[in-house]
Amino acid sequence: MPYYRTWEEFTRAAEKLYQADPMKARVTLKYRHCDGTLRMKVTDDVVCLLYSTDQAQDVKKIEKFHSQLMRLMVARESRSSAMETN
Amino acid sequence: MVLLENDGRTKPIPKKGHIEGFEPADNKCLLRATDGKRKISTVVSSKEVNKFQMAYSNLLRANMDGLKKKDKKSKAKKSGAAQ
Repeated sequence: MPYYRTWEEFTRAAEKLYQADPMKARVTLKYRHCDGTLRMKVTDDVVCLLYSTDQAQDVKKIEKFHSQLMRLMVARESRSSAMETN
Repeated sequence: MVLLENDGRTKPIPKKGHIEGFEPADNKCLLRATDGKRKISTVVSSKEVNKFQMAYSNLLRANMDGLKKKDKKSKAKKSGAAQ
């Protein structure tokens, strides 16, 4: 899968992917100091979304989105999907 | 100083269904991190998520200093070209 060019496109697609099946989606954040790159990956083992950056200002954006996703995972879809899986 | 080959990898995953039996109330988030040699993992509950995120964002901002700074050069070039 190619890297997304814009951050907006990536976040939109990633959120959609997560909403489609929250139990399957996972997020990977990879930082390589020697290359000076930061990569974020969101996948459900079928589709794989990638975003890569070398800009320091993107750290804030990525971190914000990351915590947004994490909050979604923890907070929402708690009962309903748990009931369904049971 | 320290040779910082900081390769943090994290994977937050909502907890799988089978443990939900005796813990039906709130969802949790599994995080794993590795530097290529050691692995660590933790489970963050909804109560702890704010606390965790504070610490986590501090960690990211403090350590991801190998990236390019705000492109002042290109901006300077642009403004220079405009003049």
